[in-house]
Amino acid sequence: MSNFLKVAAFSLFIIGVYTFFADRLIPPIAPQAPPPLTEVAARPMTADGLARLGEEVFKGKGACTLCHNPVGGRAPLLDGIIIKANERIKGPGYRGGAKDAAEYIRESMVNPSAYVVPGFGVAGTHDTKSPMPDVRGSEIGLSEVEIDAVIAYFQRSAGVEVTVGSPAAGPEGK
Amino acid sequence: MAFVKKAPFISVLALSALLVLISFLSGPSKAFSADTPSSPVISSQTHDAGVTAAQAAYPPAPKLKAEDYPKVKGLNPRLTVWMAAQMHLWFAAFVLAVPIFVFIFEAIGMAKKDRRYDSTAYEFMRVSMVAYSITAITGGLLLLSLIVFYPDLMKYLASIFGPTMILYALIFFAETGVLYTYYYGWHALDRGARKWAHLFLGFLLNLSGTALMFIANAWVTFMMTPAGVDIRGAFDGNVWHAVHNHLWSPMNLHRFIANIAYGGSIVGAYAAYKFLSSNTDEDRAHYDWMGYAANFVAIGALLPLPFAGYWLTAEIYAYSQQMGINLMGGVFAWLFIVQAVLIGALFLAANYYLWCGLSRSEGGRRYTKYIKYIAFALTVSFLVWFTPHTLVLKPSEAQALGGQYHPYLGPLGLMPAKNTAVNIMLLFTYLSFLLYRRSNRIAISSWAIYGKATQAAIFVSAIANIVYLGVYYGYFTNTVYKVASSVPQVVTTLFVIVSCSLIEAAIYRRSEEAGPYRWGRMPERSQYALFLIAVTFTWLMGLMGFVRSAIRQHWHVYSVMRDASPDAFTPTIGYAARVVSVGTIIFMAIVIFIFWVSNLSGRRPHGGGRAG
Repeated sequence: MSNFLKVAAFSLFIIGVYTFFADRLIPPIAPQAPPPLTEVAARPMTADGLARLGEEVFKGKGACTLCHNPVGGRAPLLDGIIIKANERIKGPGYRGGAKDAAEYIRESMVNPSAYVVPGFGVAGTHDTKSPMPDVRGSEIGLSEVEIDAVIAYFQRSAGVEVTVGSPAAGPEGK
Repeated sequence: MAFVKKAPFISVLALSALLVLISFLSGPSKAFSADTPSSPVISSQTHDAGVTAAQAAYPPAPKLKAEDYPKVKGLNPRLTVWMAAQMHLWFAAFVLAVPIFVFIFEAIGMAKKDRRYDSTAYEFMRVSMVAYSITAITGGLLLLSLIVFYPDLMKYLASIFGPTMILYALIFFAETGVLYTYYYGWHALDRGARKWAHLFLGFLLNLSGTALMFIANAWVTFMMTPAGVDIRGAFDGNVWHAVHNHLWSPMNLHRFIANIAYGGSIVGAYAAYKFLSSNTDEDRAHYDWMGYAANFVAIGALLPLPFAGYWLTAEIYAYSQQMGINLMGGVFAWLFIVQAVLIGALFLAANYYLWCGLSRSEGGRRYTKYIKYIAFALTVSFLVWFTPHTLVLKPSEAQALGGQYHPYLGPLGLMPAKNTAVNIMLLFTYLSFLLYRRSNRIAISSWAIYGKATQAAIFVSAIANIVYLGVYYGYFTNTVYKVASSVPQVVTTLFVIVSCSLIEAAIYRRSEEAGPYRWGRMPERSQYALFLIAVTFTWLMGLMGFVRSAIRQHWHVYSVMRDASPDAFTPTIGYAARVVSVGTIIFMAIVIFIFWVSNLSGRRPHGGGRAG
C-alpha cells in the first residue's frame, strides 16, 4: 500500500508541475473570438467606398498579408500588382485566361493555380499548383463584393480607374 | 476475474450499439463510387455553376445556427466530447500498442527459445483484455456524446463516410474474434506448428487493429484537411478522395509510432510498480527485465517520432498556410514550449533510467564518468529547445530589451535552433544506450579500438554537421528556408544511429563478460523514471491532441462546415492543460483498476527461463 501511495503521489506531483507550468507560467494569451456568423459586406455605392472596403478586407478578413509580406517570403509581394499583372498576362509563361489586370487579380483569388508566379508553387509541382486557397472558400469566405473591393483597392492604390463592381464607379472612379 | 470473462459481452454490446447508431446516421445509403473523376482536394468550382452530377447528389455542408445544437442540462457539450474522445484515444492507443508489443515479444521468444518473452507477452495480453473492453465502452460514449451534442456534424460525416463506418464495425467484429482466439488459445497453441498459427493470429490482430485506426484517422483528418468536397462542402461521391486527404498518411504514421511508444511506457510503468512491490529476487529480476524491455520499446519508438511530426506539420502547411501559421506562429506557439518541457523530461528520464542500468553489471562502473558530460549536453539542448522566440513583456521591459526578441537568446527560439537541439538530444540518448549496452561486455577483437575511434569520429562529425546546418539555415537564409535544415539534420542523426550500431555489433561480436549481470539490481528511484515517462506520455498525448483539434478553430470541418455552437471559441492553453490533467488522472486511475483486475486471476505465470 505504501508503494501505491508513493507512486500515486509522485504521479500527481508530475501532473501538478505540468499543469502549473502550462496554466500559470505560460503567458495567458486568449485566442481571438470567431468572426461573426454573417459578415457579408454590403456593396458600397462609390468607387472610393469600394476601395476602402477592399483595404479593410486586404488587411483583415482576407488574411492576405499573412503570406503576401516581405518577411516570410511565402507568396509574391503585391506592390505594384496592377503593373505586374499587365506584364504577366502578356508573358510567354502565362497559362491563365485573364485579359486585363482586374481579371488577373480575380483569377488569382478564385483560381490561384490557373497561373502560379515562378518559385511560389507547391513544392514538387513545378509551379503548376498554388498553395493559396480559393478566397471564396469558407476558410476566408470572401463574397463577390469583397473580391471586387480588393481589386478596386489595388486599382485605386495604383492610381488607375476602378473598373469593377460599384454601380457608382463612374465619377469617383475616374 | 468475472469482469474479464464478461469482457466479450461488453464489447459486443458496445459494438451493437455502435452499429445501430451508424445505421441511423448514415440515412439513405450512398453508393461507393470509385470512378468519379473529381479532384481529391477541395474543388475550386463556383457556387452556382460547374457542379458535377455526382456533387449534385450530395448537398453542401449544413450552415448551422446556435439553436441547432441540443442542450443537456448540467453537461458542457464540448467538454463532454473532449473528455470522451481523449479517454477513448488513450485506451485505443494502449490496446493497439500492446498487441504490437506482444507480437514482437512472442516472436523473439520463439526465435530465442526464451520463455520469459512468452510469459511477459501473455501477461500483457491479460491486461489488454480488460483495457479492450474499456476502449469499446469509451468509444461508445464518444459516439453517443457526438450524436447527442453535434447531430448535424455526425449526419454530414456519415453521409460521406458511411461505407467506412460499416467497414469499421465489421473489422471491429473480426478483431474481437481474433483477439479472444489469440488470448484464450495461448496455451492450447503453445508448441510446434500450433505456435506459428498462434503467432499468425497475433499478426492478424495487429493488422485489424491498425486498419481500425487508419479508418478512424480518415474521419479525424478529413475534419482538418477536407478533401473530396467542393468549397461548399458538397461531397464528390468518391469515398477514397475523402479518406486520402492531406493529413491521412502522416497521421497514420505518427499515431502508429506514437502508440508503440505509449504502449511501451505503460507496460514500463506496470513493470516498475510490480518491481517495487516484489518480495522475491526472482520477481524483482523479472519485472526489472520487463521494465527495461518496455522502456527500450518506448524510447526506440520515441526517437523517430519527431520526424513523423515534421511530416505531419509540413502537410498542414501544404494544405493551408493559414492553418500552419496558426499552429506554429499564433496563439499555439507557446504550447510548443510546454511540449518542449515534456519531451525534455522524457529524454532526461529515459537517460536517467539507462544510467541507473549501468549498476546491473560491475562493468558499468567504467562508463559512469561519462554521465555528467551527457547530462550537460542534454540540459543545454533542453534549454535551447525550451527558449521562446517572442517574449511577452511589459512596455518598460520591451524598451529596455530593445524589442520583443532578446538580442542573443532570441535566435534560439527559431525552429533551426530547436531542430538542432532535438537532434543532439537524440544522439546523446543513443550514446547513453550504447554505453549501457557495453556495460557488461569487453571487446576482444584486435581492431576494436579502431572501430571505437571510427564511431567517435562519426559522432563528432555528425554533431558538427548538425550545428552547422542549424546555424546556416537558421540565420543566413530566407525565412521560407529556415525549416529546410530539418531533413539533412535528421538524415545525419539516422546515419549515426545506423552506422554506429553496425560497427558496435561488429566490435562486440567477440566479447567477454565484464562482470555478473544481475537483473533486479536497480535502485528503487530508477523505477520512478518509468512512472515519469508513462505520465508524461499520457499528458503529452492529451496536450497535442488538443492542439491538433484546436487549429481547426471555429470549424467542425475546416473551411467547409462552421461550428456555430457557443463553444466555438478556442480555449486558452491553461484551460486545456487543466482539462488534460483531469483526464490524465481519471485515465491513470482506470489503468490502475485494470492492472488490479487483471491480477485477480493470480500470480504471473513463471516462464521457467530458457526452454532450450
